[in-house]
Amino acid sequence: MILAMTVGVLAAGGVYLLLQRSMVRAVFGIGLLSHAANFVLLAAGVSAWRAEPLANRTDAAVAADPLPQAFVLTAIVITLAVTVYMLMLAVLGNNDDTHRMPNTGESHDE
Amino acid sequence: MNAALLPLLAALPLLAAATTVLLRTPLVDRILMLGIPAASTLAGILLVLHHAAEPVVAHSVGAFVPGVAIPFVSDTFAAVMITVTSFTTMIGALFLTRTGEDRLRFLPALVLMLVGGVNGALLTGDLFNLFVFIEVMLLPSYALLAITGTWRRLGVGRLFVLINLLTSTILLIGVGLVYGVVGTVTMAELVGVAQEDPRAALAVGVVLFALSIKAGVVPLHGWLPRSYPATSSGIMALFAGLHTKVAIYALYRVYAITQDGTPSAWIPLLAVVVVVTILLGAVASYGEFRIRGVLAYQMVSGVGHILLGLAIFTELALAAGIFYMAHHIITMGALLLTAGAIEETYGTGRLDRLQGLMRREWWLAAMFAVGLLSLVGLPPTSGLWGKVGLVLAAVGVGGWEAWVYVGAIVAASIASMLALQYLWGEVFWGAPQQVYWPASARTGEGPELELPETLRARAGLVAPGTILLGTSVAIFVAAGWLMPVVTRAGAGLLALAPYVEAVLG
Amino acid sequence: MSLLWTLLVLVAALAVVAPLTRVLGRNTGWPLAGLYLASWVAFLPAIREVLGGGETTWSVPWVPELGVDLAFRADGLGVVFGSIALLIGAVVLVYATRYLEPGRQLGFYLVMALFTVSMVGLVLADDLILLFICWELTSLASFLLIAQGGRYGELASMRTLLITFVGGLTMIPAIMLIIVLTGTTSVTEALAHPVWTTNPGLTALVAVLVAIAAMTKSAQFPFHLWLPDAMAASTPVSAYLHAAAVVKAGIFLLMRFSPAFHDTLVWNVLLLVVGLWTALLGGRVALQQTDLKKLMAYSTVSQLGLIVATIGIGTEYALTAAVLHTIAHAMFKSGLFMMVGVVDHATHTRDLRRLPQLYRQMPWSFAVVVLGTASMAGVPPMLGFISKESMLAAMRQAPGEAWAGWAALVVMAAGAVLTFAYSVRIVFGGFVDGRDPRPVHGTTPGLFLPAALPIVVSVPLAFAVGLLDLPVGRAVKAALPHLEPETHLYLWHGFTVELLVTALVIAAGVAVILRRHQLQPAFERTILPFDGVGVIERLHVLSRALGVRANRPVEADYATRHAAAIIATFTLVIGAGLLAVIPSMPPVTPGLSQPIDAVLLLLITASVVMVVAARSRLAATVSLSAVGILATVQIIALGAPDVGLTQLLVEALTIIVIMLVLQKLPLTFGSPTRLIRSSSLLLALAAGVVFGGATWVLTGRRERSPVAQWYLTEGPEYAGADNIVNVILVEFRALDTLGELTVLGMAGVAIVAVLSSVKDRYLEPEHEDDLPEPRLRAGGTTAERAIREAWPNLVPLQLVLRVTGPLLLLISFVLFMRGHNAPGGGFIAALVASAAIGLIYLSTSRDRRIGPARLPLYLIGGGVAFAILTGIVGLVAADSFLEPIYGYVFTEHVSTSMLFDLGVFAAVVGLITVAFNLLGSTPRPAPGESTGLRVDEAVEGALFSRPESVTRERQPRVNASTTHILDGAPPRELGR
Repeated sequence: MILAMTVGVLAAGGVYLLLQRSMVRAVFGIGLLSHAANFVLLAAGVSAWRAEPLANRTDAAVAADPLPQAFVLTAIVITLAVTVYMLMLAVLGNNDDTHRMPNTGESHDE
Repeated sequence: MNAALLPLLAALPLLAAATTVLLRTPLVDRILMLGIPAASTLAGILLVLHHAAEPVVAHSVGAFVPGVAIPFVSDTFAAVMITVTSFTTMIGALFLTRTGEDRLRFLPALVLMLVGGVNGALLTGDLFNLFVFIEVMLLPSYALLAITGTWRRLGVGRLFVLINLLTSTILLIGVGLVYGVVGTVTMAELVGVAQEDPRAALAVGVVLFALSIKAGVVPLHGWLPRSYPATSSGIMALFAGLHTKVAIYALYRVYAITQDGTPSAWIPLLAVVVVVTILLGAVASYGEFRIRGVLAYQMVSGVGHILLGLAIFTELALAAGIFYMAHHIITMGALLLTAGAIEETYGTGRLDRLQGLMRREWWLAAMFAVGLLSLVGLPPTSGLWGKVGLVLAAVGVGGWEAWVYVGAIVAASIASMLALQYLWGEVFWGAPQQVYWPASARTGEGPELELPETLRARAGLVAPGTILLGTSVAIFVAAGWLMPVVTRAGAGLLALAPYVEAVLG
Repeated sequence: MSLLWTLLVLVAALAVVAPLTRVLGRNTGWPLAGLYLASWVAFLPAIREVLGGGETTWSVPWVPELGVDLAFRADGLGVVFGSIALLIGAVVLVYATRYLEPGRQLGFYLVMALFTVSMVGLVLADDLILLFICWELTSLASFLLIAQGGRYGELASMRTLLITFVGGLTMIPAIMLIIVLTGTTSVTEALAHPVWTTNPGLTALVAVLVAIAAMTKSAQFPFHLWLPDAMAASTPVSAYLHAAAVVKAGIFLLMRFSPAFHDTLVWNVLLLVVGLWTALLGGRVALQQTDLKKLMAYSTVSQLGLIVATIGIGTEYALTAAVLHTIAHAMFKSGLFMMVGVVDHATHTRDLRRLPQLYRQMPWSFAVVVLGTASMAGVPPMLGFISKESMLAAMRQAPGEAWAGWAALVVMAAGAVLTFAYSVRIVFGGFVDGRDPRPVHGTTPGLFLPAALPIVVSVPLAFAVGLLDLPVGRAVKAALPHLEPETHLYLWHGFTVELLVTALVIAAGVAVILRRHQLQPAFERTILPFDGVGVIERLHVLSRALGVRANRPVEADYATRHAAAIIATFTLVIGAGLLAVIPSMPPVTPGLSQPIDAVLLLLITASVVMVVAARSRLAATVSLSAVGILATVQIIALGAPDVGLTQLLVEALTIIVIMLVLQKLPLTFGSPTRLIRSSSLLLALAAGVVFGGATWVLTGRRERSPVAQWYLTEGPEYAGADNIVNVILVEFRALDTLGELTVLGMAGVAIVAVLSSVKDRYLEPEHEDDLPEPRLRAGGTTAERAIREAWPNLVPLQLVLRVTGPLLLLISFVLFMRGHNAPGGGFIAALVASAAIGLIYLSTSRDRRIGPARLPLYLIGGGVAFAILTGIVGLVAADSFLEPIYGYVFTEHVSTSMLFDLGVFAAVVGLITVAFNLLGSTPRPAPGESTGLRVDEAVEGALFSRPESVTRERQPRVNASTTHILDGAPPRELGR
């Protein structure tokens, strides 16, 4: 089952990037991980049936499971939203090294 | 009662959030930020009362075929959680209006969205929908954490987002795997699957794993004590009451449903994790140097205590766990808000910078003391019944594990007592406070100034914590009325027939 | 009823203290003492009942679920201890009115009242949980009383609380175990339960736990340390705590549980050994004290040791002796403590070395102290003599071999000698040997009389000791319900072994008196290598260190370490689970993999490696987009056109946003250390295996799920649409979409919120353009324009945009409309529209806001609100939230779900616009301009007008014949 390997590769890449100091790399890592998650969802629909689930074009017997597709769509959108948010965080202080607090000029008293 | 109204508990807060974004008038913001949680509390109470007659009410959102539609389900457990979380949120929001944080751009909108997400996550009967509503709950949290608190908030905000996204991704994968094995994500159709099929158990295990990260279970707890104290007290009180607790609620729910009354083969693992969490949280709280740092670790220990109910998994244990959860939400919220009053007034939460507040702030000190009593389970507070219930449940099962659990609770109590005595001694006893750091509580800026003799914490800042502590004491007195409720809630997790009946018809 | 009144009066006392102190100040003691007496009077009917051989109970349910009642019951023990608490309490309060400084003294009286309530509650409680609660309340009250004793009092009270708290913690499991074993929370029933005879193992366990709890309260070794600590409190407090209340609570607990444990060997031995050892230790340490009050404290420790040991014997005779000595001790010790206070007041010191020869100036006080110490030392004909005699006699009934009894007797005799010795030290050290010439103020009756009272009363009582037969007998009956005690107390027992012992003790004592000056140095040598204070300090230091160590591993404000912990745990746990289930795998569904999957796997692997390896941010971004596109292909290959389309568009937008961000960040990533690289690589590979393995094991091994079957067969006609995925999104699972679009929209709001909270620094790097300056002739030349200005590159793009812009919008509209039946829908349409926005953004010469300022937020708020309102319409018009309502607009089948889709559309466009406006637009920041300001401007409209907004009219529009580079006339930009 090749899809599982693809998932593995994406997950491995994602984890590696997530473990790096740079916020941007971490964001990329999350990106790869969510690709992996999407494939897990699609695989969960059993990839033996691959015809487009469009009632007027394909016969239900061979059509792919539409539910995971809907899940993936939702997941993709959420990932998009959070990715944009994270990129905003990454850019604060013009340095995305997560081992340092972003320098926003506020005093470091507390 | 019309079950079709259940989705509104999630929808109306979100609508209110959108409204505040559109209108952006401080008055409306405040009305909604306080009114919506208040209404939700009321709804929760009504649901609790209703469930005495009808244990479970469910509604297929969109009125589609059960099994296809997303069900919204309310039973006693969910209703109790809605009541407690909404109430705490309301008081927390009140505190935010007292500190003026509600004037921060869009903060009310984010708080309202948080409420919507929480209510949705508590009511949904669908695993994927649970994931979605947890996201709805988390997104505003990312922002709330990063806009309030000290200068560290932004860096910690990065930590918080990344960890939570990693967790969400694992959760999503888990949901996918569950669908991959069982072919459904409707909880009512997952009854007992973990018992019948080890693969299903593993898939569910992935979901539970993700949830226990969010709950802050050792060894997955590190992010919690690092991130929460970096935000402001008011927001931390919200997080303490909502985030980890919703995760624990989901743990209870998913585990109970997929196990269908018989404990899992993985119990030893769970037991070890729970015991370690109880102990480590208590021990580690002595290593902190901020009030809220100590409290954060006490939260971790509390999570362990709550999960004890799951590890023991008898009706009494579940009831005790649920009671402890309610108690812990309120007590922790109270302590955080009281600590917040100190930080807002004296400009720091650092133990080494505070001392002798007893002399100036006797009421505040008394309130804090009551909170600490509740935390270590002494009368006259809700904590006593929490601890009594758990120990009773643990002893009830008998066998060596019972003594491991009791031993853990006792040892943790001593460790907590030591840590909290340290906290108390540093902050409230000793020579009177001499200097303070005005305006530094949130931004971390502000010079060291001579402390004016007349300066006191504003009543408005102390009141919210006082209300919650009053609740804790009231719970101690009224335990007779509350125990039946949590017992019903616990029973509902073991006897699933009504749940399935209500959802699938 | 009597019991209820007893308690209610005390509660009332608690309630009125605050107002009383406001009016009466320190004299509050008088009315309060009156209330105590009133409470005792209310108690009388119950007492009469009990002495008559009956018992009174009052109870009301509290927590039925746990069977907990507010149950009170008066028996012999309750009567004896309750009366002690109330009567001694009253005396102490009277004493306090003169002892305390003038002033409000709210704290003292309040806590005293609280204390008495909980103490009386404790001795009357007939419910285990209630008993426990009162027990903890007494701990708290003593903590609070001691805490009022200044700085040292604060520290001491902490130690006290800690120790008594430990006692409470041993009591919880004990009580819970009792409840579980006996199935009742009623004290009476639980103690009468047969299990205590049938199950020796657990009985022993419970006995030990209870004994420990009692020993913490009664200051038995090794918990004795808190009692001397408590001396920080004011003298009335000490008199009450150490004579009548806390310490007696422990004794009470032991007697209360005697019915169950009196013949449990471990109980007997534990109490006997610990009690006697404590008696010796306390007596010995008392001898080395120079502070009268501390001396009293240690003497209390030793006296309690004697009582505990006697209870440990567990026979009728022993318990009689114990009860009697409890009474005697309550009287002489409370009196003695108060006398110490009298001395303190008169001389302003309690230090034996600094006292004058008091017996001359204070003869009366001297007399009283002599009587009290005589009773303590067991000199006939005092009450203490009778009780001491009986205790000595009891020792010989010690369980086990005969020698055990004799040994116990000898040890206790030694204890008695010590007692005599320190009594001597009190009398002579305090009143006779003093040489200090300091002035003595004498004392006032108000202070002296209450102090003397308990001691003086005890003298005649010794001769009429028969009066105590009944109460003591009833108490013993309560402690040993299985037998019918016939208690007869005499002053004169005839010539017995004990009498002989007493004689020897007294002889030894006299010897001590005569040679006391020589013995003094020997006494004052310290004997214990460590002291409790140090132990507890070390405990604190230790747990501090532990705490710090426990924090260290997670002490990181960055994600990597926590992520590593999570990933590692995941890999271990789930990996183990996989190995466990692999054997029980069903076969894979045939036809799961296609050749194209393999191709894509290779390509994806390659580009993932590139993303991971890339050091330049740009390279990484490009490779990432490659992964995205390949993923799209894979998705489409899996038969998911909508997903594929979405994935592609999302990928495009993400990349654009990434580019916006990259321009503000360094060009390359920092390079990790070799260790980091290798370890994270290792972890990554392991995680990859587990994730992949999970997919392999847990997916693709079942038939099509029933719900999928339903969607494919029933779905379409149910919703009157062909594109099932889209229908699921906007109808069947519209709630998911609602949550999703809220997240999406609010992400924009969140970005605005966070950025506007950044007070100081503007997003831009301070010094960006450190690029090499090209050497050019003065400005205004063609070359200069060609290099320096953005315009020349943009003309083509703008021309394209003129065509593609409307086209994209049209496509977006079409996609939106057809979503129901073919790939498309609100979300995809919105992404296309956003692409148009992106194009506009890219095609402007100067970064500027796209569209009106407030538009994005209105889109977001409006979109979310609109979607939810559609849902509510469904609830109102139909009968469920988000239930679609179908209808026809000119023969076009439509449903409210399309309106819902409109909400999605708006939210998406809103977010993208926010992203472009806030992350993209970078005009030179005005000096000192903060991010917050900039954001406010971006979302609220211009706060201050910018120069380029004027002088715009004369410019020609962009067109094919634009000759900007040649003549330098900038054309008008689109949308201005």
